[in-house]
Amino acid sequence: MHKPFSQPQTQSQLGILFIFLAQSVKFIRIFGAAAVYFILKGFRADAQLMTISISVTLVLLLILLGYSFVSFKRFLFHIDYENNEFVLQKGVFNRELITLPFAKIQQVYFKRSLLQRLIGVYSVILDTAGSSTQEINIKALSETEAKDLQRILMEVVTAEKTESTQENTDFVSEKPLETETVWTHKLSVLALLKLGLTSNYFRGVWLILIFVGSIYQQLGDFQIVQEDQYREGLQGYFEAYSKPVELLALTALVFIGVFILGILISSIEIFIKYFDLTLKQTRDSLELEMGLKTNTKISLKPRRVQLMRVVTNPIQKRLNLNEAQIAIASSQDNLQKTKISIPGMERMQVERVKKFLFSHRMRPGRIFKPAYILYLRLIITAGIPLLLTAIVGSFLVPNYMIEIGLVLLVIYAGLVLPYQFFWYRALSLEITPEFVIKRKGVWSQKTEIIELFKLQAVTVSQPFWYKKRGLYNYTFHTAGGDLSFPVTTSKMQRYINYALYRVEIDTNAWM
Amino acid sequence: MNVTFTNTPVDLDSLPDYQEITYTKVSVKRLYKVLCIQGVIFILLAIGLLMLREVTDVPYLIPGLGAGILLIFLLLFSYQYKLQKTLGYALRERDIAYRRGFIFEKTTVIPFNRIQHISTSAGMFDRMFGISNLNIFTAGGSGSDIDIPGLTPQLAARLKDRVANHIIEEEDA
Repeated sequence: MHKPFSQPQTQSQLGILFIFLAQSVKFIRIFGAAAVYFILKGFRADAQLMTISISVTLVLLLILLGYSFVSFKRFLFHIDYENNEFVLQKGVFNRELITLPFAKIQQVYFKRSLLQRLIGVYSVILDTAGSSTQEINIKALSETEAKDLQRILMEVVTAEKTESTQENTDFVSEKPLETETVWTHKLSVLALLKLGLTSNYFRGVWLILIFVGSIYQQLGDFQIVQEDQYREGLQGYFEAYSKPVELLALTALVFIGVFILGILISSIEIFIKYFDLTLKQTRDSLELEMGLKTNTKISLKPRRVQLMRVVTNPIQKRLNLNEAQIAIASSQDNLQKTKISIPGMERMQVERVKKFLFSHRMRPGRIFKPAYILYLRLIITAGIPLLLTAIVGSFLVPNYMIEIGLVLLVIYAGLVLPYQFFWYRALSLEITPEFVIKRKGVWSQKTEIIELFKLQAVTVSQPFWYKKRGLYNYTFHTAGGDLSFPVTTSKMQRYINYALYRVEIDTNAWM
Repeated sequence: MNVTFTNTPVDLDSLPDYQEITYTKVSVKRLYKVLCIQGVIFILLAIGLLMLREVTDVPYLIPGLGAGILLIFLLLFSYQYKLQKTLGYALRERDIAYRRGFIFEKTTVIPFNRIQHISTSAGMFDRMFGISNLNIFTAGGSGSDIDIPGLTPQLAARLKDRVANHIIEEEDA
């Protein structure tokens, strides 16, 4: 029988258009600013110059088209059924041959940028456990091709994996992948709105600052804002609002404005990112789909999951909104890429996800708290910036030392001490028979969960000044990131022994 | 396979304790190698200083720099000397432990059934002193990978084979 994708083939015909447009966009990004600059800088409409520049542009476009065509023709992929691997050839000038054994394929998923949506093509991404350079991205496939490729790859990959680990023999005999949905979680527009209003505002504020900063820099480059003009403006500002009350009110107003804008921007960002989020549980995987601009589809298998984190904050807790973040096997340098966030879940749904992803039930275990030394360390390190401010202040305005000292003291006693205290109090580590659970965070409360048998290694470190007290720092390494716990008694050592024992007796596949 | 686990101290105490392992020290040649490299750098810097003396006449610059560099190198030398004493590895039936660090004593334990890949390596200076490194990689990223330096090539190869065999045994089981 003729097996699909066994012959080297190119991408969908539309691929040429996609490569061409993508390259053009890149080109415009690089040279666009220069072009705009020239036009702004009194570019006189000289007929000769016009013809030259237009012909240059045309030639460039032709070259680009040629390049796109060759690049398209030379991008060939196929499945080598005999050697159990996926083969990709590519490159216009430097030819590259990439082979990816089935066993190394972690995930096959789709991604679509705005451009890809306009043209109507899909990116199929073959994810590996290695670094991002080993990942394969086939950028232009038609919908049917993409779906076929994903289905066939997933089939051969699961077949390969079941063969090599000799488990779940019932796996193959049962129905193929597209099985019935067990339950579905959809994020409504209302939930998105709630999420936006209760999420991290600082991120929004930060985005505004970056935006304003870059605009200001751009303006400065064009010398529209002159240095002395700016100075005068600032002076005028101080003169016009010289009374402290007015100054304070104005500053507060600006702060509130930026804060509200921050909320708005966070909301919009969340809206774009998580629009139409759908989470489905089928018999053996979680299917996640979301996004307005880039539509992402991810298929999650429980075995791949290495670390799970549940994040919420007091407001979201009241609204029963939790975010589940799931890290799957990856090398450390691309942890961001492989962290999957599913926001806006009710507690019930989080429990369902846990139940599905973890092979064991949660049982209570021994809870460890860090030693009080950690609190001392926290408040000392948090005090250093304030101390530095005081020192700098004493040089700049020696006359106002008492006022500055008082303000700093109030900040320290009123904000830093209680905050660090609550942070310290919230920090705990629980070791249960099958899990390691770390809880932390004052405002955004995080619970990180690792299945013990998925640990890769354990590191215990001790600075010599903890020796007398018998305190240690513990780090649990997994393929989805590390979990560290500082300054804890040596009583945990016995549980480290248990953790190692738990890993070493285990014969289940961990990814 | 479900292992029933009870949370009584007795059960935990019956588990082998990784803190009671005796560690094998690495070859003192590692120390010589590192000291040799540092010595070469030190000599190069000293030559640089001598040449600098010819072209500048800032008072106290050369003696100051010289004293600073000497102090830094003395600290580095003594640090390496101290560090050498703490480097050690231990093989158990089912895992390998590596201990290092003198300001921060750090012990990493990697179960054999979580090792992804194992290799030996030797740089130019390593070969000059007749030692090599054993590199053990896990899927846990750089934090949980270990490089054991200062092994004789034969020992490194033997360790590698032994650990590799353990990995295969685990997979067969």
